[in-house]
Amino acid sequence: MSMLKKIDPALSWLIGGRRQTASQLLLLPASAWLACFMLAPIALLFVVSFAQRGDYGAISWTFTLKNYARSIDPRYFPVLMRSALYASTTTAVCLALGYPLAYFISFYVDKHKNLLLLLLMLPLWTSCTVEIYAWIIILGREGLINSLLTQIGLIDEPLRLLNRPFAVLIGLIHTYFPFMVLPLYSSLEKLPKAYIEASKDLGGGPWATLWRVTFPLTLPGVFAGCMLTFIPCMGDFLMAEFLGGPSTYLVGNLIQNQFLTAQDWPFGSSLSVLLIAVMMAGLYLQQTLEKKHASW
Amino acid sequence: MTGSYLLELKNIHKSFDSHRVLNDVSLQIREGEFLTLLGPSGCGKTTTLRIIGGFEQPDSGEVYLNGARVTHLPPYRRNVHTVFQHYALFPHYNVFENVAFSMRLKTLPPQTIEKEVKDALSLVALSGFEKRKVSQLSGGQQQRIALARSLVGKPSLLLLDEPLGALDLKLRESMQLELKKIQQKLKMTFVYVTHDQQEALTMSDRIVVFNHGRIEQCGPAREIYEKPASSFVADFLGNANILAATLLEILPGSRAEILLEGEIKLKVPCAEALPVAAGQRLCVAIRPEKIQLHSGPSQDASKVSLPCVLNDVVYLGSSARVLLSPFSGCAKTIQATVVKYGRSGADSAGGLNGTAPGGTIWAQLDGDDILLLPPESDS
Amino acid sequence: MLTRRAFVKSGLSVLVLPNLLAACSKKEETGVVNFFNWSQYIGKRTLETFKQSSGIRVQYSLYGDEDEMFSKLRTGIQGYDLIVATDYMLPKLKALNLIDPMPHDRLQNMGNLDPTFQSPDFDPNLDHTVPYLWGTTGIAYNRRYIKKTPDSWWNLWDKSLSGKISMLDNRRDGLSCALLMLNLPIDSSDPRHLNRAKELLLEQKPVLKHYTSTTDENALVSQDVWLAMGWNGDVVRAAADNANLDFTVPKEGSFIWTDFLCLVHGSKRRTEALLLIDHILKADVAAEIVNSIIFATPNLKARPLIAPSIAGDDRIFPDALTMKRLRFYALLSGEAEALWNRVWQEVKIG
Repeated sequence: MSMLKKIDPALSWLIGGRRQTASQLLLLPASAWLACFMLAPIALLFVVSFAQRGDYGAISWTFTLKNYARSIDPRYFPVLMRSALYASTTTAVCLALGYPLAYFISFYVDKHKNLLLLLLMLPLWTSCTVEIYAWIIILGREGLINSLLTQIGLIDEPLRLLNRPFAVLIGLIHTYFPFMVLPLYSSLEKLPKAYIEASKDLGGGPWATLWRVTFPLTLPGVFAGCMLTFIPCMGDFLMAEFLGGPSTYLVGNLIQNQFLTAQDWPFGSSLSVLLIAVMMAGLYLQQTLEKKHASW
Repeated sequence: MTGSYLLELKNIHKSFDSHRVLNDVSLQIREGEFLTLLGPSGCGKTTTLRIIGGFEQPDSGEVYLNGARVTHLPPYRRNVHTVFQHYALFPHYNVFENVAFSMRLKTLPPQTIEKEVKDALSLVALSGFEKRKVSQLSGGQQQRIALARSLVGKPSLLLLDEPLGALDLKLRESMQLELKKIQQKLKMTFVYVTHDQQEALTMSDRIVVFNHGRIEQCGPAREIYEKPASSFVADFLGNANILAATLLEILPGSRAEILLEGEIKLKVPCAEALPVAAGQRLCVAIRPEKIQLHSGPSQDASKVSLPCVLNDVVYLGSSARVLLSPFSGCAKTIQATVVKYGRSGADSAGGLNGTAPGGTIWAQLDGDDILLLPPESDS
Repeated sequence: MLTRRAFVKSGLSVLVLPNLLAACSKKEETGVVNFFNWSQYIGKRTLETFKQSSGIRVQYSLYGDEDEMFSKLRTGIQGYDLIVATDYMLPKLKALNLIDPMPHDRLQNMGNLDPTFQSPDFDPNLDHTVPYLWGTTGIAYNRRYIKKTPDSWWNLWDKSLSGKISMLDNRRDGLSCALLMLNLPIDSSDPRHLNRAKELLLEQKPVLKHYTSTTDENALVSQDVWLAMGWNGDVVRAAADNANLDFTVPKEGSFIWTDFLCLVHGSKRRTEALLLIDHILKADVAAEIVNSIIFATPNLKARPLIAPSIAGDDRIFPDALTMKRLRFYALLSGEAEALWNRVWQEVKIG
């Protein structure tokens, strides 16, 4: 319930039956939209996850927990671990690259702030396909990097860059980088500069100030950025599909294959429900931390 | 020369986006002094403080601290601490960690840190607050913690940027005295920024009055009040009435004769070196409390009486402010302070005698209370 | 093009749009038929000539792989009248009632077809289908890097070519091939057999660059891949962009697949769909399709009209000796199909 409130106050009104006001009525279309296109599919997914797969992928409506048992089968464990590894590596790299960048834009850029932010958001506006294609051109055997390295004589044989974990990570980092930088940037912007001055005033050099003041005070942004990067990364399948190789099969691919290839909707649903549950738990954790932060 | 001062500013210039904020500011501060930078907002006093603290770099000019040039040193390389206007206490640390911050950076032994924090908290009368969160403190308590945090590193100089601005009047007045007491007890040098003349007069050994990025006057509090060097200073400290006058003649015995408002001749005391020569225009200042009100012209030859229309009376509690328009045609309104306003039977001494707004009243001036000032510049 | 699959999945395909719009509007159009086909799987002029001869406009939609087509049909995206489906999909489509019987009496040109294609296992007597095109699965390779013609599936397991090999990403091709190499029945539903096939495929994984849903044309042309499991016509077509590419059928044998035209269940434009099928069955039209996309046709009457370079290419029309090594894919029961799915999944996650 508290989770729902967070998602949409109007929704809680719908459910909770509060007194109707004009402002709440204004939220009705958005709530209806959310209910139809977000809650209903998730509910459907939840229902299907307890059904059985019939011949040739038909859904047979007999209640079973088999799908969940199969979902937590140890043989799928490596896939989950692999996904978690890719997602956390992506998150870590995005944070390591994103924090300095957000810091730079927030503190050192004066005139071209908006332009830089705009450029930063480009991956959000670019079609995934274009991004993937671009990376294939860059990383391919006869791609940009290999041609360059061959021409300056650094290598004789083209390096194998594509269809490796490296390429998947590059794709993931590229795609989800804005999700990390934007919350970091906004929390750095909101940080009163007086705290930084106070630290410097009391003898804190740039590093001491960063570690003892700036970073701890922007932790809400760091948490939000990490969540916004990690969660979609956990479900991503496009990068693994097109930039990855045989060893980069992720949870997203597993789920996608249940729906598209194996036609095992119940199993795919149970995997999805579990993934959503884990993400919700993560979000809840993040919000708890944020609340703790807000009470300072 | 430079070595004899704790801090010295030499010919500081500073502009923001072609807007000149400081124009040739030079200043010396002695060890153990309580110096106040006073002026209206935008006069450059805070920028001066930030240049001393190292948060801004001057466009030209130098800053010397203990004889060493520190003009371009970052704040963390100067043994100068600041109490910020809104305290800037770290919200993610408790009181103890806030106070201990500068010592943690120096990685002092824990016992030392504990002792120093304890001493600092007892100095600001907040012993036992170590574990409190910053958000649990009142404004006054936050102010004290900010002070303790800045004092604990034993800086050679403490900068205070309108530290009492956010407090209510009563708390502010008690903190003024307390700050002064702490400063005297620790024999530390304080540079204090405020726009409140009362605060400046209460606490300071010396006051520097800023106006439009320049130092208008610098001197002991009493001297600034009693001998303002310009009409701006006279007005800013004590709301003096500024009137136009012409210097008629310089008399022996440090006195001069002036023509006030084009018709009243008056003998006034003057300094040896007058800013203008005989026959030239100048300004005079009269403090509101030095003007006496009577229902008729004065009989005393040494005093001057100006017939005025009583415009308004502003009740101030312990006193009242009377606004007058002289008959002489002077455009300016004159303000007079009446101390015993409203007390029955006492009005006859210096009061209004029941004169209502719109009625006529005589403002009586003593030539000895009139201050000669250079003519007002247009700036 | 990235891959056909990515193209369609990304939702960029503008070709799908008018079709969806048509599906939304209530007004029935009589002069229109909705055709859902593999991408790059029709002649350059086929639809145009149909419009000229019948006055019916074809709203043409593409899919990147059959799983996608199947999912779209299944989720009830309405509006398709005619689809192309590969043989092994037919039992599924019939079981889930997604296609309707084919009224052969309303097709004048059925007689043009090769009688050998009249009774495939998947749809005896062609009750629900009309054969469209056929091809073979084999090994695509780059002659510049692979000097000796790869004559065995084992070549796809060659550790010295690690990272230069790609494999088709579907249970049918993958598992059938492994069963063939292990000399096990290719229609096996015995978990032990399939387990051995799985082990073999897992052994191959480290040498693979990636799995692809269709022939790895792009990587073959760019020489990122030197050896790939693929479909004959795709490879011959790709050879136009890279002359080093060639196609061969391994000695262990391989598979023939056939794609069929099927009537979508519930379609309201049955007459128009049948007219289009009949049009495609015309000898000259069938030949034009082959000349455009270089896959073999079951249309006997069209053979003389096919460009000699294609008609004489034994990679497209295999000789009798090769034909002996080729067979149809196994027809799987629903239960076996589920098992195959599961085993293939385990290969992928391994």
